[in-house]
Amino acid sequence: MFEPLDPLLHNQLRLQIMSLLIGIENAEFGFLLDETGSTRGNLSVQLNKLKEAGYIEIEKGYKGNYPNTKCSISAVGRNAFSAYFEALKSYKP
Amino acid sequence: MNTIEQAQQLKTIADMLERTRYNIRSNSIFYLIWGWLVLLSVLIEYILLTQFNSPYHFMVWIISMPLAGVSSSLAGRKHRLKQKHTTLMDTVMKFLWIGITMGIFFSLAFSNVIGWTHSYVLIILFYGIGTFVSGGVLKFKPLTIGGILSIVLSFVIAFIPDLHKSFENVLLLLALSVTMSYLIPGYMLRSKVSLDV
Repeated sequence: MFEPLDPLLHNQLRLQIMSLLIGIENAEFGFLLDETGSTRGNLSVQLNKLKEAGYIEIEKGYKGNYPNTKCSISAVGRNAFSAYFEALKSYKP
Repeated sequence: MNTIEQAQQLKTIADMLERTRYNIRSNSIFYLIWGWLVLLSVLIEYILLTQFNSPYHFMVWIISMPLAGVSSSLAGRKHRLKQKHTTLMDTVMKFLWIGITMGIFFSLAFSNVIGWTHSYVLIILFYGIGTFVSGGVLKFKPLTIGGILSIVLSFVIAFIPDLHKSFENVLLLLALSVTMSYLIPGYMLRSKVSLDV
């Protein structure tokens, strides 16, 4: 029996973001940009979608004298990622 | 969803998780700063005590410890500016060493009550615990071994009267302990090309 897959996570870039955030406390926008290889615009859009769903939290602040955006996964996001991963495994041949 | 797509999604997850591994090499600078400053302080104190019979032998710590604190804060600030993500291990290490530092300052502050020898026994025990726990969670054996040796050494000093009656001996054992648990693992960490957790 195949489990339904969360459409929000069934997107390459959003899954990349969530997979990066699941193993760490927080990540800067620049880190996500480097590791996903995405464009700034696309990354911003996808981060906002994840934020609106309550999957991640975004904190805007400063690092040194420069603006800095930090993202972290929320408890809701952690559960959603876990459920997605389990559902994905049910598709194993 | 087909098998290829499922495999692709699983690969994406595995690839991304791989990129967030904790780099334990970044810790080496802290072991080297504290290791060298503690070792030099101990040796200077030993010389002041044995060669000059100075009653102010402990004064070296008043200079070296704030210097170590400022140097490691600056190194930490530089590290944080470069670091673009924070792992759980970063947080664990930060709080572990803040706790250990508080314990060490407590031991020094109460040296006039418990005596210098017992104060140093506690210092060796505290940083032995710090390096032992660090080695365990980071899976880096030289730190674990260094930590165990320092803990054993603190017990040896505390329970062998001939050793703890001579403060000069305690200083030399402190020098040995800091070399085993800070300097050797610190240089070994530094020399590793790739050592991630």
